[in-house]
Amino acid sequence: MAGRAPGAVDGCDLLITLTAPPYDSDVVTSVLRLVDAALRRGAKVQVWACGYATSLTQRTLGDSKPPDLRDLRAPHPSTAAVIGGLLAAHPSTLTWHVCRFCAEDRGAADHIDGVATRSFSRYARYVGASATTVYVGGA
Amino acid sequence: MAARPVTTVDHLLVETKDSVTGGGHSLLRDARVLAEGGHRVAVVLMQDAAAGVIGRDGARAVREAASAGAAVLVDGFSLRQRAVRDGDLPEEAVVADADDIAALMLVPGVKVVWR
Repeated sequence: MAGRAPGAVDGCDLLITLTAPPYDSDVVTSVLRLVDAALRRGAKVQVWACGYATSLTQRTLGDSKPPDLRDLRAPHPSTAAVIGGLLAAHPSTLTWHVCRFCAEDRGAADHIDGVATRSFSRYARYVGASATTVYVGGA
Repeated sequence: MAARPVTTVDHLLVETKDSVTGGGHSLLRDARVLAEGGHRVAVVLMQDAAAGVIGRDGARAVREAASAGAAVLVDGFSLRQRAVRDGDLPEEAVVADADDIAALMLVPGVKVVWR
């Protein structure tokens, strides 16, 4: 039986490369909404987080954001909790990659379970294996 | 007559910025050119760009893109976040949700530009 070729990566229907900084706009909300919608459609989705987007899945974020003083009882899940929830709900169709170089450069080394830290040298292989790649830039 | 939702495209242009935050209407102009060239193209206006077409210049850019054959979709969530009513949009624009936009991103062979 032929084995997997060395260096081969899993393909997907949609690869979103997210380099936009999380706190510059509502881009993370947009991307998470679209990832969720694509997964609900049964698509195989991968996200490659670079730049400050590598901070979205840090374990130290915990499950919730600091309280909103205008509504202390309202729940506000952290990005790590939202992404962790998506990974738990779609274990076979969602992969969340974190660029190792960008993460280490920002001190974001510890990520929630299920997040894969990858060398950027592998990025081109994931692009080549995806049916569609969307670059959400602005780092 | 309300514009019909688009289901298949060759090019999907996603604009997230308005003229204040660095976007303007250049992707709508690009969509017009692509459509005039015979391509199936859709523009999605999200985030700040969603509210960026309620003014005169934005409405004109939407009309020109649509008249050339491009589909113009506006993210309803982004509109609500900015307290913009659907009725304030140019009539050529179609209000869409995340599922509509994701479906276009999953069209086989589609080329996506996100700004």
